[in-house]
Amino acid sequence: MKLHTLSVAISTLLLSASVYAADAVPSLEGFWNQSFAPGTEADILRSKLPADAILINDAGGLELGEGDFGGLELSDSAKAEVAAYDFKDELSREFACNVPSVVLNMQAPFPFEILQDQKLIVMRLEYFDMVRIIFMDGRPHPPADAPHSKAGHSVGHWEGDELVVDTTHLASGSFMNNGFSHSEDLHLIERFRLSTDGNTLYATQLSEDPSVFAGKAARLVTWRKGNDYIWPYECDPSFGDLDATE
Amino acid sequence: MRKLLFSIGLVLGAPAALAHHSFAVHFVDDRTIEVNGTVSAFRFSNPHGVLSFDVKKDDGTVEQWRAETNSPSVLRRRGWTKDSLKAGDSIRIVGFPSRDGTPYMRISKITFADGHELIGQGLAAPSPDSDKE
Repeated sequence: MKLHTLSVAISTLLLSASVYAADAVPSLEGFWNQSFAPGTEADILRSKLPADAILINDAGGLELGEGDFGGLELSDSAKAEVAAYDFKDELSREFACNVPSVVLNMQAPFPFEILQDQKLIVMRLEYFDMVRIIFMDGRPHPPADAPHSKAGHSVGHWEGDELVVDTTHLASGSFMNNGFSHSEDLHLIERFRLSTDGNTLYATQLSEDPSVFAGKAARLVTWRKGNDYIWPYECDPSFGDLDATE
Repeated sequence: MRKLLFSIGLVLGAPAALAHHSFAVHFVDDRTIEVNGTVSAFRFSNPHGVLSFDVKKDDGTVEQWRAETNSPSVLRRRGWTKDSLKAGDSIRIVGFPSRDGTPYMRISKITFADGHELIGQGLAAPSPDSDKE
């Protein structure tokens, strides 16, 4: 076989492999709305959580009451933060538009949209107009001292038909709407899986943040596919001021 | 007659809608109250719409109440708009009372004099699953 012919054959083979790879992973694209009911296939991802992970039952439509941390053992500094926290401040103009980090945003009862490509996955979250970029091209996270943000830095890969997203560089934000924040060192691993019929999307969150809580914190989130799109959120810090001009 | 009713109903499995502040800490989440009143002002922007309304008490005095909606970005999909409530509207409002006992609540349902309703949080609220599907 001549060199040129061999080159064409290899290129064709690689192209075929690339197309096959693209086709081999499920498409998570579309509009996803939080579901308050656990889906029938939730156990598949739940069973993949580490045995020592603490599953917090506050995703979607649920919230824990004051002083209930879902079984997490808080560090002394987090306990001090809770002790000093005044929930009345949450009703202030200064607090109203504090953007939550990905950790809280991804389990909030708001829709999001996924746009998917081989090298990039984009998640548009309606809550606080957040946009997440998931790099799928094999790049590493930036250096530890790189700037942090509420969306963080996310890299992803496929494990079979499950999307695994690893996020670091998250700016501190509320962890469970209950008086303490996660640190900038939080490490988040999410695993996304589509249901057999393609109409339900499941994800587990696994968070580690040793300076704030011991061990691993987990959540299970469920979304149902919808026929809609992301609307603007446009938070208004003066929302409670009925005399303010819109 | 606008009368403070305070009929209390149990709410089972009512979804809290996490928003900019904790719902569970600020509001009683396992029962609702019911109040009749007249709208004085309404503002509909994220993170919460806010309604001010006057409630005539049994002794003839008027108490000013406030109620917040869950996120307008969610409620717009249920038909709410910034013009859904106007000053002077007579309403019956069902909501989750504030834990500190102040005249403040999270709206679950509003019924107008002509019978039409606005659905907020919990109690017969459609699941987000059903939004525009």
